[in-house]
Amino acid sequence: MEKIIGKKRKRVDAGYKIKGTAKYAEDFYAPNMLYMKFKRSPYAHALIEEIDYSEALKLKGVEAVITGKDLPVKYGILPVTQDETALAIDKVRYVGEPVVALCAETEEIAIKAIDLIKVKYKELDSVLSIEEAFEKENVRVHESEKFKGNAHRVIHLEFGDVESAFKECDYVREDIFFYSGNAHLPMEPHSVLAVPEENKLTIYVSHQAPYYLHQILSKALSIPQKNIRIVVPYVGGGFGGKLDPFPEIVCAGKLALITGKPVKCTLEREEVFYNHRGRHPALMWIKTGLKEGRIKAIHFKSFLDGGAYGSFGVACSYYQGALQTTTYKIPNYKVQVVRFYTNKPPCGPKRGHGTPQPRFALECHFDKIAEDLNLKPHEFRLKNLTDSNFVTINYLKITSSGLKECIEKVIKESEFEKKHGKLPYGEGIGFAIGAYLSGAALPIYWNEMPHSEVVIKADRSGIISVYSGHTEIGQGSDTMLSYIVAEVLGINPEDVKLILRDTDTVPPDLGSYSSRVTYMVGNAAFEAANKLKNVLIKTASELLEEKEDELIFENYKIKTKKGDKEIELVEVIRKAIEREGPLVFTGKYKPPPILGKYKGAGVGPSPAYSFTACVIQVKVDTDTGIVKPQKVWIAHDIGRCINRKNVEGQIEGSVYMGLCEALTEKTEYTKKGLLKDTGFLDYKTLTIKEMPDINVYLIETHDKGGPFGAKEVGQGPLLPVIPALCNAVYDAIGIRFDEIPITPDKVLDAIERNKKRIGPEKIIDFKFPPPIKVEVPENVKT
Amino acid sequence: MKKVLKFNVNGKDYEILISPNKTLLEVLREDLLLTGTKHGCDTGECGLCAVLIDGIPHLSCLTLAITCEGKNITTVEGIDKKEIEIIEKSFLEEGAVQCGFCTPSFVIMAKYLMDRKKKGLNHIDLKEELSGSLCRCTGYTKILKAFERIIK
Amino acid sequence: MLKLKEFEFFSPYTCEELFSLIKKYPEAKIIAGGTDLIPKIKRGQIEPNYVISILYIKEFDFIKIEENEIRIGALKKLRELEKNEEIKKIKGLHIALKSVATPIIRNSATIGGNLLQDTRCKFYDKSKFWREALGYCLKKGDAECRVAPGSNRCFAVFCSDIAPILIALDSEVVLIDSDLKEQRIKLEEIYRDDGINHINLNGKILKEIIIPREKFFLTYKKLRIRDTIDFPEAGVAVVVKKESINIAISGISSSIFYLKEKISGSDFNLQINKLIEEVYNSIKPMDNLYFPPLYRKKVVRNFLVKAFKEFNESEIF
Repeated sequence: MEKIIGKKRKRVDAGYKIKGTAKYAEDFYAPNMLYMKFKRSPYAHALIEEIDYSEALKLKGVEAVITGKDLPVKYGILPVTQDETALAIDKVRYVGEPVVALCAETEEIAIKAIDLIKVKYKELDSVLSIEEAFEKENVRVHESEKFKGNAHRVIHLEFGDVESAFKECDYVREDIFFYSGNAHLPMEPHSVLAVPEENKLTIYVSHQAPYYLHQILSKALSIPQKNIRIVVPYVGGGFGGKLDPFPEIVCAGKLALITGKPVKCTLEREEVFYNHRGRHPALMWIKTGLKEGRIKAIHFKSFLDGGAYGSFGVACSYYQGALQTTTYKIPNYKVQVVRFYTNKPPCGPKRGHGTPQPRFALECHFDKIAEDLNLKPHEFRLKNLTDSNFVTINYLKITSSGLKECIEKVIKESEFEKKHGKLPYGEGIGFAIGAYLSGAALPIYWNEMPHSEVVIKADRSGIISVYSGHTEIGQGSDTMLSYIVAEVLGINPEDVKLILRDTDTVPPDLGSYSSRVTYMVGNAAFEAANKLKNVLIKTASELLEEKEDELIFENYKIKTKKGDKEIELVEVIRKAIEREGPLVFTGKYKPPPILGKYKGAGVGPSPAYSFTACVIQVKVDTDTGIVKPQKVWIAHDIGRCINRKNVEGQIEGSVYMGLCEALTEKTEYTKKGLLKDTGFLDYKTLTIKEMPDINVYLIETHDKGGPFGAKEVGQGPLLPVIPALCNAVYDAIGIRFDEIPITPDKVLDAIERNKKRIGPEKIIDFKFPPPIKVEVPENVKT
Repeated sequence: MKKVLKFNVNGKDYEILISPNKTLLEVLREDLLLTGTKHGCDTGECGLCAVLIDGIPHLSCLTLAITCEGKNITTVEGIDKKEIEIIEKSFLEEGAVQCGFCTPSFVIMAKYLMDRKKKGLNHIDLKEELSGSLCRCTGYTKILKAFERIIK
Repeated sequence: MLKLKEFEFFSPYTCEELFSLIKKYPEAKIIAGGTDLIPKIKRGQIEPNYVISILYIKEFDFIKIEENEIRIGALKKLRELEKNEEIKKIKGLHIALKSVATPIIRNSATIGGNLLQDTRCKFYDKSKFWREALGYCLKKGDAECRVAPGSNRCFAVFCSDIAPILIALDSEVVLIDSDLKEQRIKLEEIYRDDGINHINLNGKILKEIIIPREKFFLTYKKLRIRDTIDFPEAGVAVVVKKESINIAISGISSSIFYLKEKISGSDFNLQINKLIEEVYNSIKPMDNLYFPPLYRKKVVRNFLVKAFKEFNESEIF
């Protein structure tokens, strides 16, 4: 019986955060520190004709100025898209793109100096939407030989034969949807402090993936990795928005090297929107064919507005079609995706990473299908669910699955059947499901090395130290790590000494993305802790003269199960050091090899998937059109809950973010490419007053591969929230919103004009190359 | 022209020379190096920079430091040990902390509401009182629960 | 961090000191709580070389409950007002007070500051970088209005929550001039329908607000997407007194739209319906806030219908 896993215990980092002693990147100060500011492009698309910073340099206190030519090496987070430079070279591609960086003795001087820089531009025509990017072929954001116009990535995959399958169907339906772009809006803005020391550049930065950043910085700054040290303190929220190698990190590093002094840069809130890397706007089309209520074929098309650079865009593009198959058995499947470049801040990974948009389309589309077939929404789902230990048509291996239990739980607890279709006008209830990875099975840079490495050390004073490179972005990873080690060794999590996220001292971890940390770092930590445990048990067994399997670790002691003999843990550690030498062990984790061999097979596979079902009840204010969520029921297959309050907190946070995406959040731009909403006041997110009651149910399926059976919880619960909300609005007022966010003005207008549906009317007529046809896995062939 | 500012921060008296255009947030973070008070927007829209001025919460990014002459400022670092323990217990046990960046501003609000409760004010509309403090991680659910315990 | 530009700062303790400073620095900006002015200085929308704080003038900070009127000093903090027992009895005013921004902002914000706040526009309430990329606008930095190109006036919106309520209540204000003479006028007289020069004080200082104590029905309905923080995209105040109907709306023009009518006596509901239509047809919000203009008009109409429904149900007269 576990003592710590699954029990209600406190987070190990929360105490510092409550007392205000937890350090974030902006809280670091260094003597003689300089402040860095950017001069940004006012144009969405323009050639840079001339940069004159002579007046800025003359200003007393300005130490150095750099432009694009000082950082010419192109880089990008994905190996397939190395299309960025820290500062624009030759042309600017979005309003807000950094063009010049300078550093000065004080922030005030830096701000004044920026105003003295004169940049001459030649404005070009720009493309500011998917349609424009497609239609205005001659307006090129990037010169790309591969695809016509502004297509950055084109995907066309076919599993099975959809056209033949559609012919055999007794029901076919197609729908079009639009999912608006939105931003991460972490409470902590991006911040970096670059400190040059003898032979080394130390970067204190708020970031989710120091390991990748380390490699990219080395490339961008043209200095070897051994001369760069990255330290990540606590991160005040990431949600995917702090994964990229941002301009301010590269420029602060460069300016620190040039001046020999520490250079600090914390972005203003508006600048965080220019870094962006947020949710791709997606225009989607989906066609489903059924025979006797069972899915025979799905054809899905998605057109993404990628912004000016690649970022994680290629991965997001593949994710558009990857995870639909994890919840439903789809015997014939066709996916077509185009990611376009546009003249806006680049889109990238935001919580869900390319899966919320297709999940929204799929779940709303299925809600309509259920209605057509006279089935309850969940009844249709239950007829078509995947199982545990199932290989999908696109070669994703589902291990444990509690999807059915999740569905049954929320349907029951919400009294869905009593309410659906039966509440008074203006009140409604909606349902949807989702699934997500517990970590991507392949790293960004393809190799066979472990994805997580953890080192554990037991020293002579009995201190257990754990070295790990993962990042704590609020999701509770420090706590998860401490709990696992503490559980194995019979100590309190608070006593696990954590040495973290410093590339000089800790082993590599790929970072906090794709919900990989619990599964992968957890497994690595479990392995390391058990290696230590095995040596200690061997020593204890000799000291106590008992068989190893009679011994347990409990409360800083090793004792016999009978309870008649015991020895202090620290004594055993010291004896073990005497006999074996230093007690330092490593743990590692690498996901099992992926099953698919086709191009694109690398996106989607995961060692395990989490599943979520959600029901939301809403009330629509018919005076204002404001949709007010009343109650949420959400069941999540967590595999195994490591820290109950933390897991619930992640689910509640996902519900909050999902409701925001469905109701209020949108990144929109003027005709000149200026971002319309640049701060917390204008970019609307829900406050404590709008949040409904949330009932969280945890389904534990004890995944065989997860640490103590655990799977992910950071992103999966977000996915069904948006479509459940939309389906609830339909139940309330009989109007289908096939585009989000569902803003009050759209609702009032639709009600007054008696509209049945609000959404896009057409997709774009893109000519795809022939599909890559993928052989269907054996067990799926029917 | 710089002016002398005499005020008390977290129980300590300070006398510093500042320009009138400095906000209280800048003075706290940059001059006094009290980095517990966070900044998220600088324009009063997020609530992160909340501090107590003579016991009342104010946004330090909208407060000119010079207007704090003679006042008592309390930041998260300056809350009494016993009170922090009460707040910490509720926040920890309810799970009200995730990334922690908004936490100091909620701790300030907790201290304020605890003081109001002590003064005998019984009806506290928590959602209303906390409406100006934004959080991106928790969805507010557990923060609310933690506060309900604190003011009970 | 966003930094305020450098300025000279003064904090007078009396009216005499205040006026002598104003005389010496006629372009000085007056600051009370700072919740409106400071963000604007940070974004470079307002660039004062001199700032005069009136927070220390104690004679402006009071609340007096008299038999026929409530007199509130301009410097009274909104939070203190909303906690005042007499103010709480005026439900619509209490709702309006509690709807302003957030409680923590209301700890600093003053009633005078709310009534004299700058007008707002999505093209104006932006950073210097953003406005420069836009090419500035008529209100600040250019000759062209971005909302109504070709227009010769600014359409920035007046978004006070307190002004419509007080105007609908037939409130008056006391202004004080450099000779320390006081003038008492109707609150609506200090507003002008111009996005740049929307406040008409003629060099006087707003000292006091006087609310008549009568029997009335009062409600305030605020359109915003969230239940806190946001400014009104339409702030509708409806007051029904024994013999008159007053409607005042903020968030849809550069001043406060208001309509005051005597109750005709014959068919109240008919008169109300005509009034609502008249309001709907008269208001012309521009596309310079968060919501589209037509939507705001429709919500104003819906709010008015609801307000009068509530009045009929209240059976107050």
